[in-house]
Amino acid sequence: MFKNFLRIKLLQPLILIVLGILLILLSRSAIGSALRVPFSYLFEPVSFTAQNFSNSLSNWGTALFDASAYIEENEKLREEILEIKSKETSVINHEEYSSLKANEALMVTGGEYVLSKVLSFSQKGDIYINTGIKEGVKVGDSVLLGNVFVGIISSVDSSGALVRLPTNRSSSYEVVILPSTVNAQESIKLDGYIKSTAVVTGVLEGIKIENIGINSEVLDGDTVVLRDERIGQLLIIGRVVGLSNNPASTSKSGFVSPIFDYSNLLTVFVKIK
Amino acid sequence: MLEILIGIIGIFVSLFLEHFLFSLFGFSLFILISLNMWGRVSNRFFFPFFLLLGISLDVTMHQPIGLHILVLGIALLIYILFETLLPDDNKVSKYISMLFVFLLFYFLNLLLLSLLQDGILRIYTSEILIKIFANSLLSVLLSILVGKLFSTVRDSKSYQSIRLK
Repeated sequence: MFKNFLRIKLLQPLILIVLGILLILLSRSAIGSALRVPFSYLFEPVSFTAQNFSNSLSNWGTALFDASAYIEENEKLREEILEIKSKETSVINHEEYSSLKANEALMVTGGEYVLSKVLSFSQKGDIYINTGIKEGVKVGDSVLLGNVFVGIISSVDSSGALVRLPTNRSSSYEVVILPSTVNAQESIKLDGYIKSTAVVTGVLEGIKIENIGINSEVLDGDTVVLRDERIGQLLIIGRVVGLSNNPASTSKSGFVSPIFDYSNLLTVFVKIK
Repeated sequence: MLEILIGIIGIFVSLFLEHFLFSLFGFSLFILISLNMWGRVSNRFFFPFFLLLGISLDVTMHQPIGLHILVLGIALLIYILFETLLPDDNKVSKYISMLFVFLLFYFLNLLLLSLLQDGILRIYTSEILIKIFANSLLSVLLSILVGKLFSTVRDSKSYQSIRLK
């Protein structure tokens, strides 16, 4: 009977639509995350390999297309390496180790962190990292690099997680603005330095900052520091740029220039506790 | 037994190629295969294969589970409606309807992903629209090639039997 039922042509896509809706509803429940685990366990190695292949192919393509610039850069780097080698040999041998140690020094103390590699970047405002449930990562964990805020975990699998960046249009955080002269990395009482509170949201052009007090003395280049209950710690987002100067409005707005280009991130830290 | 084996290998190969092509050009093999396999393979094979492939793509691409199946269902429904409304013997109209279905798939995929994952409507920049159109056009060209390939080995009236002359 089911075979005959399936033969009605128009019913076949309707079955797929109903199945799709049911699966979407199911994925929003607790069963959904349980359903993800076996599939991710089976198929994620395949997807990682395919993405690595495409990345290396893309890199080769870019390199071939821009070969002269690469040769020039290579020569410059060789000269720099020779110069550094002549001063200190260990710097070259432990380059990655040193950068990680530097990150560790900047890291906000009092927490447990998981080192994660960035696998891919999406224009929508997400990055995909290689740590997941196995490492103790869960939805809502904050992702940072040093004391700079990178994003929040929005979905998690057995060995991977999706990080929602501040550039994502569904991201919205409470922030404070500090003068550019204040070093937010130092453990000082920041309350006395706050120029204004504000709200940052992800927009198509980047990160928008709004609700800055009209009488505040906020200037372009001031530091934007995250102070949101959901994150629970002070983390830098970037610097204020393109501040509006409309005397008719009740608040100032502008954009935030992130500390680093999110598409160039290689390593991040997930705060799991 | 052979169908199960082909299905399992097919899922792994399709998944690999989908990720490879999607991260390189934003090209989706899923809709190309499904639209070209539609009516050419039995329902007993089609439904489990695309259900499993759709779920595994949703999981590995970190999308809500069921998104690929839902969009495929809508795309196929529109394709059937086009097939019913447009003349049967005209190949040009068939490929135009295919182009429309591919465009719809890419468009809906981005829209529903944004809506389900972030709760916001996606903004389509000119860059995205050009990419969608180029990928859809490429999919139609590949479909024409697949159609030609099938017509050389299979009977045009029944894809179950091999063409002898």
